[in-house]
Amino acid sequence: MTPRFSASARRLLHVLDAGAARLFGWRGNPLHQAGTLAVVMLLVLLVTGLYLVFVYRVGDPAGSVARVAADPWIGSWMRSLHRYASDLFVVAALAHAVRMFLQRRSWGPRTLAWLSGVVLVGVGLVCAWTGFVMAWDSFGLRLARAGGRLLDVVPLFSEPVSRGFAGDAPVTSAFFFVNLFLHILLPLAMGVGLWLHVSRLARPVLLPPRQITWALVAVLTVVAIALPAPLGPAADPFALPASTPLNLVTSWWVPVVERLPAGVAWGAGLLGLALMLAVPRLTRQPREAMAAPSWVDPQLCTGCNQCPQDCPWDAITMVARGDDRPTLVALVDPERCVSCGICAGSCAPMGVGPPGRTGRDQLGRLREDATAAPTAPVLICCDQTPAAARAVLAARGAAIRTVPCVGNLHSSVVELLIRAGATGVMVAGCPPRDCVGREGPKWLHARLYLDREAELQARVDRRRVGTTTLAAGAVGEAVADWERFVAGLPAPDELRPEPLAQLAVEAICDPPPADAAVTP
Amino acid sequence: VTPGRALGATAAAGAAAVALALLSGIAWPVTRAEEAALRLSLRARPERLETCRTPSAEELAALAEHMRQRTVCEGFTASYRLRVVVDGHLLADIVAQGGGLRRDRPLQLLQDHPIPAGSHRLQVTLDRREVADAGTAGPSTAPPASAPAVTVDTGRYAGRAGREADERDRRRRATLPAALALDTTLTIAPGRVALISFDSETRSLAVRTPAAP
Repeated sequence: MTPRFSASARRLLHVLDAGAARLFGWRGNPLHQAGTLAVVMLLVLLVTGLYLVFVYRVGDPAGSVARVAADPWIGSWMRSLHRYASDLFVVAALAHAVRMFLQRRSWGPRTLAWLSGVVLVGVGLVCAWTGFVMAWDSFGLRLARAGGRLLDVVPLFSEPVSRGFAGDAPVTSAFFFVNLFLHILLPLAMGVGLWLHVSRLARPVLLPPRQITWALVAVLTVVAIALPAPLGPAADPFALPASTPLNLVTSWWVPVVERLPAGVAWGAGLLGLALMLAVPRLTRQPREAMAAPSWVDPQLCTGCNQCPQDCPWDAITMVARGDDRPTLVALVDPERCVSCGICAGSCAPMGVGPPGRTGRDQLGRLREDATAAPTAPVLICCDQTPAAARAVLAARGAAIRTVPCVGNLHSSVVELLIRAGATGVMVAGCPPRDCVGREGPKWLHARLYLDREAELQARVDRRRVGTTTLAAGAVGEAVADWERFVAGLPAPDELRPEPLAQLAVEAICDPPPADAAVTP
Repeated sequence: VTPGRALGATAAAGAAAVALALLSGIAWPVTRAEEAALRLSLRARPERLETCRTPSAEELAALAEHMRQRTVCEGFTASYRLRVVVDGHLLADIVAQGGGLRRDRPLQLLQDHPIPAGSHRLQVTLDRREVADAGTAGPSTAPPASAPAVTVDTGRYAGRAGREADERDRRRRATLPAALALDTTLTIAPGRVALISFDSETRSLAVRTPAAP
């Protein structure tokens, strides 16, 4: 992925996010929740599917579905909700995939998640195919024929599958039984796929906030009642309908496949699948451009076990030390580390983090930066926040500094800035559900306010510290937070600024173990 | 969350859900209203064109007892030409062969051809393409003239020659005849499909025009 493409992608995301945030607010921005919305839809499909499977009859597929559709009390909206949930699952999963791709989160340690995600969407589409065939209306027959044409190219069956729908003989109950079996089996496989999808995450977030979940289910239910999903006339192999209901979300491929020779359709489909599966390889950064994984300085590591707890990717474990100190030592698995830097913010003695981004590196850089000596309130922003939004806050007097992720920020940097003369320090992160480090805002809040390691020291005046969320489309909220924060700052004459260059790192952070040989 | 934003968010979510519902079931045109179709649907075993001979006593003696076929046939599987003429116009002219790499599996044909609704004169012919030459004939139905004296079947092999002949006859009856023809008047309603298939019971081409439900 070229830098130009990357920058364009980020701009595009900010535009989309801004639009969604204006409508729903950043807390409810569905674009940030796409992955979890897909999971909610799977749950809705499970619940509605359980009802539908009990009223479905393989001996009378069209009749049983028609009876369900005609039942105004439960059947009609249950069936429609099932349909719309499957549509929204596909839409949400694709939105999630596009976001991950544009945020360059589709390769390296995230390869497994990408590959399993592609397979999940593919299985979801096949599952939708079996679902429409179950209904056995004119569209179900059309789908069955399209699928039959495709399967006839594959030398698997002794008789062409498509002949089964020619009308020579009635379609057997065995076909509908196998189809129903697949329709139940595939979601179970999707459950396994979902487990694989999040298997590399610590504390995977599978559901959106409760209000969003219920609001979404309510809206879909209302639409399912008001606009029941269409059901065509019962499948008749001797009918030539002028039109059939077509689901453009999950079955958009049908009109295309119908017009292409089956071999070409297979070729195009397999090429598309191969391209999707090759994304991690195609978008991989060159080695020199890759952010290096975190590393641990065993001399500084006290074995406190905080960084493994904070790592959102389960990339850190505690292992036995090689020396005679009685503690364990952290060990980073570079295959799992995405270089989010959250471990750097978790380490009181600042002994872990990506090269150049450990707490010590952050403090060192701040001391060396002569222009950093602050006199105005400082706003530390995540790199991923929109540049235009940062400019708006800069225009309101904020001295802007950036970090790759607010979870990477060591609390000692906040202390150092205040001790050096900043009247206040506010940290602006991304919306928590859109954090590239997954848990940056969460751990930042805990470290600043809840005494989570590495906590902001008690000696720091909390009135001079604040946090906000800087989201595209919701800059006004951050501006209001900033103005409130600045207005509430104590008078600067209470401060006793110390020259940055004279502030020793050990004066800020926890001292390393007495027996450790440290080069500051 | 202000009431205005909540209202706006609800409206936006509702609009998105309605759009999703509409995309979920748009009416997609498939055929023109006045159109009908002729479906050619054949599934039958193609004929084997074989040359049969009676092996000599020496040949049979060289084989294990259970492999001593009284008639040995070698040959190939026939292919067919299907021509469909509607109102004097050629609608389809298809060469059909058996399935499988050796073309010895059942012949499968499934094609839909649009035709205008109404009454039509329909002429369908199915002809074997290969002509049986003097040395080639269809499977023999007659039992071998005489079984060599050294291989008189006894015990469990008693009557083998007759069983072989029965089996060949059964296979022959299951294959497509060398020539079939259908000449009829077909009346088909708009939006309906007429099915032309091979009826294995009567060994003839048949046309079905199911009435609209």
